Amino acid sequence: MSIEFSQIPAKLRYPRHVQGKLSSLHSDIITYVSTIYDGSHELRSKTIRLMNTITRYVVESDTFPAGWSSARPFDRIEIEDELTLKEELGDLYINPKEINWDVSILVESNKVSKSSDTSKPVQEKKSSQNKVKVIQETDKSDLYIQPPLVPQFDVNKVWMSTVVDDTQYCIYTSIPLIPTKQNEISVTTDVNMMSDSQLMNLYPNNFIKTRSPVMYEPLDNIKYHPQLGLILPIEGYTESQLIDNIIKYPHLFKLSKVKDGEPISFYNTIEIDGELQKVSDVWNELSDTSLIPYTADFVKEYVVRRYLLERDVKGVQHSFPMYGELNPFLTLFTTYSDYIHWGYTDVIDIARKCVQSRVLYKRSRNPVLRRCEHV
Amino acid sequence: MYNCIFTPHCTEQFCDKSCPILVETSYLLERNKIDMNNAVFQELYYKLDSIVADLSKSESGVQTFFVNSKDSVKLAEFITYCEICKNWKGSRLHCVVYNLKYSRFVDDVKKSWNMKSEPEDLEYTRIWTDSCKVLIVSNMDYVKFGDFESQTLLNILQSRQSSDKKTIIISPPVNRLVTGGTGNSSNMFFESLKQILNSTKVGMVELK
Repeated sequence: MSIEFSQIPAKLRYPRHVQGKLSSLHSDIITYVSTIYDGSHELRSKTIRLMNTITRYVVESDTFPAGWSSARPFDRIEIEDELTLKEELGDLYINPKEINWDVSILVESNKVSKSSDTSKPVQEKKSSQNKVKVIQETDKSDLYIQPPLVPQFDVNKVWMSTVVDDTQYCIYTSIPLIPTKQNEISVTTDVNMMSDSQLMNLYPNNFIKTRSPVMYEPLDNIKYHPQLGLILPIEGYTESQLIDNIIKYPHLFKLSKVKDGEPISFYNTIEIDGELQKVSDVWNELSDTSLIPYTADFVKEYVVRRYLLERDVKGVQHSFPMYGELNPFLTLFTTYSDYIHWGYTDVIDIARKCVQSRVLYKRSRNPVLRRCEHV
Repeated sequence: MYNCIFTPHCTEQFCDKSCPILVETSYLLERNKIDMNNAVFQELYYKLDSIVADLSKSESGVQTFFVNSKDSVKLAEFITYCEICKNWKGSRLHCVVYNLKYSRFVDDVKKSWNMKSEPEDLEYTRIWTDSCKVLIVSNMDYVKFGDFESQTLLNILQSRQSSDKKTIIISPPVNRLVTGGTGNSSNMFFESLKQILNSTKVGMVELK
C-alpha cells in the first residue's frame, strides 16, 4: 500500500497519546522538505529516516537534542539507522518503499547528473537537463475575501447602473473576467463563463491554515485533527459532522447577525431557544463549553460553528439570522487531492460552489446593490 | 456618483461620501489625475502581477523601469495606481503617492523664474515631491537633459534617498534620453544621472 508523502500525517495511525505532537512534527518536516526537495534518492531516504527517528523520540518520550527545531529538522540531530528503527517502531514505522513522492521538485540536485542510480523515476531524469521548475506556493492572500491588492475593472463594461435619489450608482465588471485566484471573485463574476480547468485553478497548491492560529495548537481533552486542528465539541453533533463543518467553513470572517433590522456583532451573543443571550452570561452554563477556553478566538469559533450546524444539520430557522449569505466552500483552503482524500470527490462542483458562495457572499453584503434593491 | 475602485468587491455596511475607503483612495487618484476614463481602468497593457511583484521588492530607495515605447506615461499611471492601492490605507488625506510629471515640472520651474512669487501649484508639487512616501517620476521622454534638468533630478533623488523614501523612475532607455547643453559640467551631471538610472534598473517593460 502506498502513501502520498504529503498525506503521512493524515494516514499514519498514530497512538492517541502522541497523535497531536507527532503529526504536527511530521507536518513540519513535510513542509520543510517541500521547500528543498530536489528529487534525489538521498534526500528522500534521509527524510523518511528523520521522520522515523522523530517518531521514536516522541513515542519513547525521549528528550530532543539541544537546539533541535522542526523548522530546521535536519540540523542538530543524529538520524538513526533504518533497521533499528524498523524493529523499534512496528506499525508506526514509515517504510520508504511505500511512499509516493507527491512533492514538486524545487531545487535541482547537484548530484543528479553524476549519479548512476537506475531506480530514479522519470521526473528526476528531467531535472538533469538543467531545467529547474520553480513552483511557487499559493499565497494566503489569494484566498482572502477582501479584494485583491490592486482591484481592476473595465469601465467600458458596465455591469449595473441605476439612479437612486438623484445619485447615479454604477458597478463596472471586475477584471479578470475569469478569476485566477479566489480573491478576484466579485459581485460581477459569472460562474457559467468558467470552464472546469478554470474552476480547478482556484484550488491552492498547498495546505493553508485559514483558522485562527490557536486552533492549530493541540489542547488537552479537545480532539485534534492532524491537518484541520482542534475540533471543538458541540453537543448534539458527531465528530464527522464537526469535521465536515470545518472543511465547508474553514474561514470565519467579519460576520454579523440581524437584530431589530440592524446588523450586530455575531460573536458577543448566542441564540438559545429563539432568545438572544450574551455569551458572557451563558458560557459557564452551557453543557459543552467546559473544556473550551473562554477566549475571543474560541468563543467566536464555538458560536459560529454552533449556529452553522444548527442551520445546516438541524435546519433551525433562527430568529436572529446571520447578516448576508454564508454558504459552504466559500474558501478552498487546500489542494483538491486533500478534498478527495476527505471524501469530497466532486472537486469541480466544489470549486463551482466556491465561486457561487463568494458571489452570493459579496452580493448579499454589497452596499450599492442593497441600495438599489431597496428602491 | 461614487466612483470607488472597490465597488465590485465591497462588503461595507454603507456606501456614501464619508466612507474612509472612498475618501482616501479618491483623494490620491485625484491628486494624481487618474479618473475613471483613464487607461488603467480600461484594459491591461502588461502583465500586472509581475509589475506589482517588482514594486513590492523594496519599500525605499530608487527603482528604475525602462520603457521600450514612445510613451512611458501609461506605465507611470499604471504604477501610480498600483502604489495608491498599496498605500492608501491610513493615508489620512496625505499625498502619500505622487506622480511627478518631470517635463511639466521643469517647465513650471523655468516659467516661475519670470514671476514675482512661485505659483501655488508649483509649491504643492515641490511639497508632495519631497514628502510623499512613494514618488513616481515620469514624462522624462519630453525633457532635454541639460545642466539644470539633470541636477534638479539628482537633487530630488538624493534628498529622497537620504530620508529613506521610495522613488520609482519611469524612463525610456538611457540612450534614448535627449541630452543638451554644452561644456563639461552638464555632461558630468547627466553622466551621474545615467549611472543612477542604470544601477537602479528593475527591468525593461515592453508596451504596445
